[in-house]
Amino acid sequence: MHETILTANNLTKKYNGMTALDNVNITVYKGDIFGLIGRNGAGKTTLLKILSGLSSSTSGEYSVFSKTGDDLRKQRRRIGCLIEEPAFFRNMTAKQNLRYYCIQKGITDLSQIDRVLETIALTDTGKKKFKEFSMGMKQRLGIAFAMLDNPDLVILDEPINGIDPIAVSELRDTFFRLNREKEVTLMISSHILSELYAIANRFLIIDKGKVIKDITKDELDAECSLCTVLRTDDVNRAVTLLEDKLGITEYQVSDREEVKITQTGIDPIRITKTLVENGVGVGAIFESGLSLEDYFKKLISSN
Amino acid sequence: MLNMAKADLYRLVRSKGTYICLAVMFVLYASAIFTDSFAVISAGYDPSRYFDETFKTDMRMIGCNANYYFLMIFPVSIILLTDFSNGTIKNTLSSVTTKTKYYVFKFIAVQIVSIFYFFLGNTAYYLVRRLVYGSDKATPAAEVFSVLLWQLPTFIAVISVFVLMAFLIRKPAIFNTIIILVPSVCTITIGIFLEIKKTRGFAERYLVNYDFTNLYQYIAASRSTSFHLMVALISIIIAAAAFIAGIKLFNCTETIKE
Repeated sequence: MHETILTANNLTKKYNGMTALDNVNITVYKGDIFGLIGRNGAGKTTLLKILSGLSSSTSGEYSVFSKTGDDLRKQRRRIGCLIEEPAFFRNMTAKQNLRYYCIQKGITDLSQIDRVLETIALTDTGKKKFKEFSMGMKQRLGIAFAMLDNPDLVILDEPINGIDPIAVSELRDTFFRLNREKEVTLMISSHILSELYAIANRFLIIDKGKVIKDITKDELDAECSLCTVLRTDDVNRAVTLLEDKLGITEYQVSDREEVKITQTGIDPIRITKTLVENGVGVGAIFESGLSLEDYFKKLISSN
Repeated sequence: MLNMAKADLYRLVRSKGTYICLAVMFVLYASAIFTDSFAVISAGYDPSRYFDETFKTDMRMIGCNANYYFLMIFPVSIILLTDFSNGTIKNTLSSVTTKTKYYVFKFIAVQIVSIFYFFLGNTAYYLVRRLVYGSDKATPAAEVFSVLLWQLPTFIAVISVFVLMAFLIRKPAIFNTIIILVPSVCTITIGIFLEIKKTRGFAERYLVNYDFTNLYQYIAASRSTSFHLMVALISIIIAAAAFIAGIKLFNCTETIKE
């Protein structure tokens, strides 16, 4: 049985009459790398802000490490956070900024600063001040801050924004290492779904403040495996024929020559025959898996 | 809270603002000592309103402590507003403390640093001037420090309002603009009240003497303990009200505004 790290029950947040979060229920288990997916304004950051103590919920409750309220406040040091863009003192270097937070958190072992900077490959910034950092460097320093106190739970909001591909790959390795070697539970929101798919083992898809899917990677892989890709010379006519003649309504036009049919129980031979008989050329028809991006789009459009 | 204090001290000694504030204080007092005058700069008030010839220059200079009104923008900016302008408040609130404790800490920290500047400036001025011009031309130290202590509640009340406003405004540029404009607005308002026949009596009796820019002089010039006590009481009430209102309002608002 998995140890529960975080639970949220009917978490709701309303701003000026608008519902940013609507009865969100989640459970995060120890060792999870929990991916949070949603469009801009879907409620991801609001959820992460509430969980990290930066905002209060209008109703509902949550617990982290089985603690709530004042007890949870005492456990905050076990949670590392990077919410929205990284924020540090502009006129201080990376080391000075981290030293400030070491002092603030009561971390006496200052060698921890070098360790986290090494972990996120930010050791060579020297006297460069935070205001002179590139977007990627700022982002990495934000991740270093989240890891500073050897947390058990790390909450990261868009952590790979603005980071170059090599650094992303290094960060991915870092996340895996933290997760496997130190059993750190990670909660990560990102728009880069391919990257999130490569990291996470569970996914929570949010839209308009509501959870529309809570799914493990294995379940996602199973759900995404059924997809028929149709390559044709006339997509518009092909989809008309699919709908009118074959009654296929669940599909996505992925580009000018490709249609991804997500409806189950279809017959590729019958599709080919129908299209050819009606003068539509078929380049190829084959089974393929949906990407997380396709799956996300499908869920959002059906919501 | 001790760790937060240590961390802010670490940042304070690395901040340019700290040294700019000290430099401005140095220039202000060095000019006053060099010219053996007072009110080298006065915050829009008449620096000799309440003093007659019986008061020595050092006491008149201490009567000009309304100058600290402008200088104390620095501690508020360095200790508090940088957290809002850089967004670093979220780092602290997400891992170290609660909103209430954060407000209490910042309130105390700004007060301590401001009071330190207040006593540092006045003490250094008094001692150096006494050294330069001799004790004959100096007011007895006990009298000077008694006046400084009576001025302290007003000073604390002003800083308390600064902290409240900083938490409400959050943007350094707007905060500075408002703080700089307030004395002028007060002077103009009092001027208008003085011009109107019906309000002149009220303005002369209360507004002029209790306008915070004049109040420091009035405290320094007055020998009335009951007046000092009344000013101290009103100041403590203002400081307490600003403190409570600040906590309530800060707890009602989002840490990171949408």
